[in-house]
Amino acid sequence: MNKILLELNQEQRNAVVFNGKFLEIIAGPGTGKTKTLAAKILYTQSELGIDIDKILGISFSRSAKSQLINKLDEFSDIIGYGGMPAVLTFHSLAHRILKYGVHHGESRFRNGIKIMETEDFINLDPSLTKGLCNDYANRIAVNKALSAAYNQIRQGSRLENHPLHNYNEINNNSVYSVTTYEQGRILVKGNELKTFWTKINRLEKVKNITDYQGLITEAIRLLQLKQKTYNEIAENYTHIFIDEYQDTSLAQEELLLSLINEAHHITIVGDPNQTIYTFNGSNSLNMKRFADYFSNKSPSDFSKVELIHNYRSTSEVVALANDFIKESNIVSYNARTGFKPAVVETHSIDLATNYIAEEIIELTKNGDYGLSDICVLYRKNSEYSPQGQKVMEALGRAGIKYTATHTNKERNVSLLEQVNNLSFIYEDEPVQDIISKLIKKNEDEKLISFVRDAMKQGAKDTDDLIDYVVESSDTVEDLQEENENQDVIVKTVHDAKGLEYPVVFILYLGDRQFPHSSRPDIEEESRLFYVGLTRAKDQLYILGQKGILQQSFMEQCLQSDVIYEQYHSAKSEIRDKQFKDKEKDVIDKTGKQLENEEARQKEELRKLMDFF
Amino acid sequence: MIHQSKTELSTPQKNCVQFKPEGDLLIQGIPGSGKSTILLARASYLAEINPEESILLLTFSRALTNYMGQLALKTYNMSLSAKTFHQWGQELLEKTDYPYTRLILGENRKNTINFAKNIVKKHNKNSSFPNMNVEKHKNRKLLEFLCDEIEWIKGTGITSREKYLNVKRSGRGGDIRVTKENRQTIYDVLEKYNELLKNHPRHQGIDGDDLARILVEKNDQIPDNLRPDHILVDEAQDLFTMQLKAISSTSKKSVTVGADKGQQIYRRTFTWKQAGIDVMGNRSRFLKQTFRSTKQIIELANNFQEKDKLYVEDPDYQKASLPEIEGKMPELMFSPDMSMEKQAIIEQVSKIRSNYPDDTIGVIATSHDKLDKFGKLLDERGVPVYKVKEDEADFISPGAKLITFHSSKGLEFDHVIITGLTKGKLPYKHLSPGEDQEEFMSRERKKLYVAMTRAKKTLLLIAVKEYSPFVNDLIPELYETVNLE
Ligand SMILES: Nc1ncnc2c1ncn2[C@@H]1O[C@H](COP(=O)(O)OP(=O)(O)OP(=O)(O)O)[C@@H](O)[C@H]1O
Ligand SMILES: Nc1ncnc2c1ncn2[C@@H]1O[C@H](COP(=O)(O)OP(=O)(O)OP(=O)(O)O)[C@@H](O)[C@H]1O
Ligand SMILES: [Mg+2]
Ligand SMILES: [Mg+2]
Repeated sequence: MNKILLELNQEQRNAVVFNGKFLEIIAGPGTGKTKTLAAKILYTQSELGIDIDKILGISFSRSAKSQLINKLDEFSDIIGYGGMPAVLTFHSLAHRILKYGVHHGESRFRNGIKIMETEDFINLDPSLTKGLCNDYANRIAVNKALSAAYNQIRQGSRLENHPLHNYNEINNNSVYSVTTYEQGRILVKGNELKTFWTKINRLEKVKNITDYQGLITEAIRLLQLKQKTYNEIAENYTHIFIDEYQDTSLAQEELLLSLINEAHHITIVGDPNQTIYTFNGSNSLNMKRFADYFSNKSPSDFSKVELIHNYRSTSEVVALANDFIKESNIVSYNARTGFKPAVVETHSIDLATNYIAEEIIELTKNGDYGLSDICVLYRKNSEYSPQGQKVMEALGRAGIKYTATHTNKERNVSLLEQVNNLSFIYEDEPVQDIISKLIKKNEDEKLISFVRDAMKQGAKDTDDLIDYVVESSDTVEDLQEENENQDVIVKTVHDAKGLEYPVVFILYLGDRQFPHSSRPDIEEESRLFYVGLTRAKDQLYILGQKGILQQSFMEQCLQSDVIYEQYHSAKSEIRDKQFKDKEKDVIDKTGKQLENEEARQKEELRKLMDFF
Repeated sequence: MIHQSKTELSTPQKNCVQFKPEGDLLIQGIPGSGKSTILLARASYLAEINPEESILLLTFSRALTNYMGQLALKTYNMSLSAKTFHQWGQELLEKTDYPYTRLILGENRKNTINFAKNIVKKHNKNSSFPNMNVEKHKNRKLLEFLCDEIEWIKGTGITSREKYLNVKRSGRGGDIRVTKENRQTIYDVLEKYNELLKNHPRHQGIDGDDLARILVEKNDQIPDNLRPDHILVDEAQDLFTMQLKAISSTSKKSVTVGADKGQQIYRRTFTWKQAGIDVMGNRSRFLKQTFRSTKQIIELANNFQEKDKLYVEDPDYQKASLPEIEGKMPELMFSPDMSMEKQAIIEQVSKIRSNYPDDTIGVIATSHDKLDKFGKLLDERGVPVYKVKEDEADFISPGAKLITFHSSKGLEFDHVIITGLTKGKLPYKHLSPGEDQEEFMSRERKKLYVAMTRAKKTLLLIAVKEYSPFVNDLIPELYETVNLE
């Protein structure tokens, strides 16, 4: 263990050996939060002698989770011992709590519960939304609006200030305003949402199904009963470690608080400046609330550790990131220097992706970097903003191999279906056996590789498999292991949270693009861009155009010490004609006169202003 | 020599900026007379004297919104809140209890009206549609006619059948006779259309006209924090009465309007009073001195505009006084075919890029299709090409800006190339159904006039065979004929 402690700096070590119950590590990107968390998990096992089964790691998403698991693996390799504790997401933890609840007869659900997307309830029983929101003829939009409102009030985001647990808590006179792509803003009345929830409750009971947020809500209810389920869970997991805490929702926070008692130890790590899921209920005050709550509750048991040394990036990247958020909460360790970040101004996405392809060829030509050292982060990939698509096209054209972890909701839903089925057919069989049976039956290639993947990460039976699908839906991302291939990585900024790459490209800055949408949440978009900036270890490229009517991230970057490059055409220009000298003289004169006029006019206007 | 009076803001201009920050103000003026300049100066002035007061600039087109935003940044280092009327209206609408906020505009709106028309035709045995007086595409013409008429009815604020049957319809030409029966049917279509907007799964939403009306009706529901203290409107001649009304009832303190009827290229009729803009007394200014272009360019444009008998008789018409700035004669090139036209564009752009790499070049054409072709051509040669139809267009950086006649309005470029002066294209071969021939020609002429007055330093016009009749209205003394080198 000492070997590992030696790898840490003093503050990190303090955090690891802190022996109070409640610890918050609040620190900027690349300061080793995840690393410290992994070290503390191992320390808890090896030095404090806590049984590995009592340890629970929670991370925000599958990809964030793999960061933590990789670090744990790395550490156990170094010291030659240490097992892998349960590392779950909040959703899979809730799923687990439900299993206990069912077992003890405390849940309203039965064995073999099925998880689905909220909107699938309506597919299952179209009468759920009948008679609701009758003003609106586009029923698809109504379905989406009701589902969104139903999710948001339970998460405690946007529509309500606290998570609601039960339809009785809805005020009949509330009017919720939900924006849909199909129909613009839809007004949902409190009593309508109440009816919707009531009907869903009935359906859930009959069909033994629930949705993702339903898992959380039911888990909270079970824990708050303080009966057998609670006792078992609370006893099972006594040491809890949470990464990326800034992105938990209010409902997830409540789940955590409902779980713990005097015996528990909790370590959370996070960075409020990296809160990027407020649309899913996260809240940039999460870290503060945690600290307030526990420092009040038991001051002597609480400690807050701040880390400032950034081990990830060059001092140039760190400087830019600090400038951008106008804080200086990270300091480059050892003042490692490298290249200045490049800010590349183009006037179309096509030009930007073209530039990226050319630059990647340049970067890899001399073997300085391999393709897999390079990551291209885009803000959005939609019909109106096909950034991801354009990146892939440009890389494809240039013959650069890439792996795109794209959001693919449908694929996950069908996978969920298949895994749900597996759990009926192969209940209680070990995963290893299931795999061989699937292969024998010539089942879907993707399903098989998913099960294999889950087994590698510790899945033992069909219930565990469901845990894993539940997780993969957290960030609806492809399940493919990345970096397995020697490819350039293409993904959204959201998906890159917690990760790092030697070379990072970010696109596409400009009005509506990044910050995204015609009415962007500027705070959130800024945090997202900050997350993007801080993924780079050595080289960072920022591409796009200056904002005109919205906040201009590019202008902000240009205030810092960066290389400013303009790239307005992909070819070198042919200028083979000239004005005749006489013509040029006349035009020059016109130009001069116009210039004088403008200067005078400006001065005049300024004088006028001063006059007032 | 530069004339002394021009070394400062002209007196009428000064008065506009200094105008008391409360109440309404109308600034009219010829192209390049500084309407937009004054709006920006006023915005910056208002922001300076009362930093806590909110200012909003509204326009009709996204391109202009962007342009004004860029200018504000460049000249005053001010980030100006600028929106299109529709964008702004939708944001406000969401705060009211009106259920539908999906905008039904352009093609969507046309489809909905078509749907309504077909229902009326099918279910109403006595329906009687006006005769379109055309050989081909009767149906399409009828649809266009209905779209226009419905826009007019709503935009003018007519809300009952009674009123419509008796109203005197001004601003429509004589080639389509509209009988009382026709009006009944048109109103049937309107009612059906409104019904679809309210009830139909595919068509439910709100059109631009209703948007304005609802904003007026539900104005008290708009929260105070979304009401700008001052609203500035540029190119207001393109808005409808109702839209201006919505604007004037939403602003807290003042509305400043910039407009030029000489550039009215959409079909609109209104008086400022109808629109609720109170510019009586000395609250209205007319600027007739242009500061944008050279004397040579304005002479040609003025002369061309004077051929528009209809507009010259309009009480709003004011002849531009010639600017002092001297420049190169505008050039006209006669091109036997399109490939020659392309060659000419390449040549001109190449010259400008060689000698003035920091200048902007406006390449103006009648359709996006043609612009795309020109764009590709220039792109191949490594010229920075900006497509203005893209939302985030940049008008100030050097390079070639591709733009249609319509969206060129309000913008300016150091150099302008006007392409495709071809018979049947400009003026367009089909006039809108129900429109007066003379009125139509007047509008088409304004299009070219607007395009010509975008140029600051040089202007090249390219006529392609069969040449547009407008070419004959340009007098040879005022331009130079050029050939390919
Ligand atoms: N004390 C240390 N000495 C050397 N390297 C370190 C140290 N602490 C962290 N690192 C390295 O710095 C990088 C960033 O660490 P880590 O991913 O844990 O940061 P983080 O704070 O979790 O970042 P993020 O906020 O982006 O999730 C990793 O490569 C890690 O190995
Ligand atoms: N008093 C002045 N002195 C010198 N230049 C001026 C003056 N007023 C305006 N200008 C310049 O003249 C040009 C045209 O002005 P502006 O765009 O405001 O005209 P406009 O009336 O809005 O034209 P349009 O009707 O085409 O939109 C600009 O380049 C502006 O800087
Ligand atoms: Mg981390
Ligand atoms: Mg203007």
